[in-house]
Amino acid sequence: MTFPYRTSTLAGWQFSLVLLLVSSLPSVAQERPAFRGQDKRTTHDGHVRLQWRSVASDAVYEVQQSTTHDFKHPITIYQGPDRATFVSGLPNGVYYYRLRSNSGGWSEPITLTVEHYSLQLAFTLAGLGAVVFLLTVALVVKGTAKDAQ
Amino acid sequence: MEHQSYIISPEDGWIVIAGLSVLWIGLGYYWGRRAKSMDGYMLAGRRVGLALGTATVMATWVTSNTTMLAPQFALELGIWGMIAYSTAALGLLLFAPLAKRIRALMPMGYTSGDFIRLRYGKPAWILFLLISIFYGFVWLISMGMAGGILMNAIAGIPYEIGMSVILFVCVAYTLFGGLYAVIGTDYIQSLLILIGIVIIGVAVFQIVDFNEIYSDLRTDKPMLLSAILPASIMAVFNNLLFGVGEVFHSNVWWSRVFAMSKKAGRRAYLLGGLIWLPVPVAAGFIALASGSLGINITRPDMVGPLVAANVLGEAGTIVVFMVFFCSLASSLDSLLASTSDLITQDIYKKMIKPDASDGHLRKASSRIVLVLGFVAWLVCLPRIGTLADVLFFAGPLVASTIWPIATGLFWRKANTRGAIAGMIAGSVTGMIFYFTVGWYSASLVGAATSMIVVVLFTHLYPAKFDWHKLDEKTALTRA
Repeated sequence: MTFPYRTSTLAGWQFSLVLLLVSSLPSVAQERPAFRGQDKRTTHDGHVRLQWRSVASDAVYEVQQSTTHDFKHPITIYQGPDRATFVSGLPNGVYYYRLRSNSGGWSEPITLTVEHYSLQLAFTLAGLGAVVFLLTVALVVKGTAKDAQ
Repeated sequence: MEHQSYIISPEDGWIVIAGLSVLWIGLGYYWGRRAKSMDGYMLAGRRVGLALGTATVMATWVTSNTTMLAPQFALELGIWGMIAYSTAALGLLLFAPLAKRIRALMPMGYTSGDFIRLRYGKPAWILFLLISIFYGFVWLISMGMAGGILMNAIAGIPYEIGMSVILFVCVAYTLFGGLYAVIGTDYIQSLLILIGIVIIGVAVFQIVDFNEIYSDLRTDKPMLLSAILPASIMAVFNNLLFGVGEVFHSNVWWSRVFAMSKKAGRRAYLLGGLIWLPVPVAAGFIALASGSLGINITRPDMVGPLVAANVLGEAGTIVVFMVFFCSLASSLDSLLASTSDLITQDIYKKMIKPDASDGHLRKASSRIVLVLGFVAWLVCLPRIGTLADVLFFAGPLVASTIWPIATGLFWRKANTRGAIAGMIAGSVTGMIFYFTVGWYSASLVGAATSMIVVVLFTHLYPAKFDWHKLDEKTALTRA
């Protein structure tokens, strides 16, 4: 690695190695990591910013996402030293997130409900925007043509 | 601090900042010596040609909002988000014919406030000043914040220090050189921005695998590829109308019309808009590659700089750093100069000291630049919200000015009541949508409401405006 902090995520085997090394050390009482903000959130645009509190200056974190409360088929969405991550492009549904540091246990999960705006609202507003824009263009074009005369 | 993955060392970051700062302040001082009169200081002598005119239009519009917000749009709203941002070019393209009309109607004008005052009278003028100064200030804050965030994320320089440095540098050279310095530095900055974007684009195209990006997006972020993502469908016309509102009303663009020669204005805005058009698409695309490249994004407004810097490595990051520093500086200086002009001409000269000499106004203008810089610094310190939160709050306000300005320039029948009611109704309904639906509908609703109100009042209370009243100096001489 050329720069000490260049890579912001760790490969799976690297993270497992870190966990293994840490678990083999004498146990040190460390605060369990926790997400900042509300436990239940709703988004209408399919994105969310997850932030969490630091448990130690050299801590490495793992964040998992699942569509079931019991995290039966979790997906790791971040591994590394940062204390926030941004998730976007989610379809409608309920998502669960949990977090752990290299000191061990998982945090309490938080719930994210994705409810995109209705397409009816979106197309109505977009249609309105198109009308306003076209009328503005017509106003400028007609005014300019008249001015040229 | 949430992001611990710095790309270059703080020492390297400081070297780049110091080099560019000395260059801008030195050039500001050098060009400032040409600004002997108030016209020179505020409007660069009213003789700016096509090349400088195009460069300043393009560089000013390539703000941190293009280099940082366009990637944020792509990351949050996907393909449509990228397109939505590029529609802001239509603001410049549509303003080109207006530029010609403005220069013809107001050959000795100074500010956009002058137009509203002469066209619609004092109450509309005061309302317009409130909107315009609020918008200018919000934009200034978003730039200051962007500077601090950028330096922190790339070089690990503390946010407060990075933000303070960029504000100080821009205040310093705007203070020395006025619009001469702003347009001159814009020219060099636009060249550096374009060269840098080409380097970043080539590097990204060589490194990333398009099939992999598509495949990863389809698996992890499927809605970003969707053609019917509701928020992004709304964002397309919202952003378009926000961009049109920004350009139509802001003194940043009006002062350039007055500064350019009669023939240069229209063509400079057309060319500037066309050159700007692909920039947000290129900047936005790299955000979509962040997942495939394994880059963690801690704040959505930092996705552009982080991906570009990670792709290019340490040496390339210096190029990235320069591009972002230039894009920030080229907008910050324009905002400081044009907002200060608006306050000097429209508030200080017209309301407080009508008999002020040119020398007195120049001093007042310098003090206003200093105060603006200081207040912006104070507001930037707490680092409120993301760039989009800060900027789009002003969206409905500026979108509500589109029709009062466009009809005021072309329709003799457009009247004061319509302009005032249009700006108020547009701002209020837009704000309601901002808080109830989201920022991606606020400008759109604000512009639509304002348009309906202006057209209705024009039909109900038609005026017979005498266009000669807009040429204030000639009208005064005649009187």
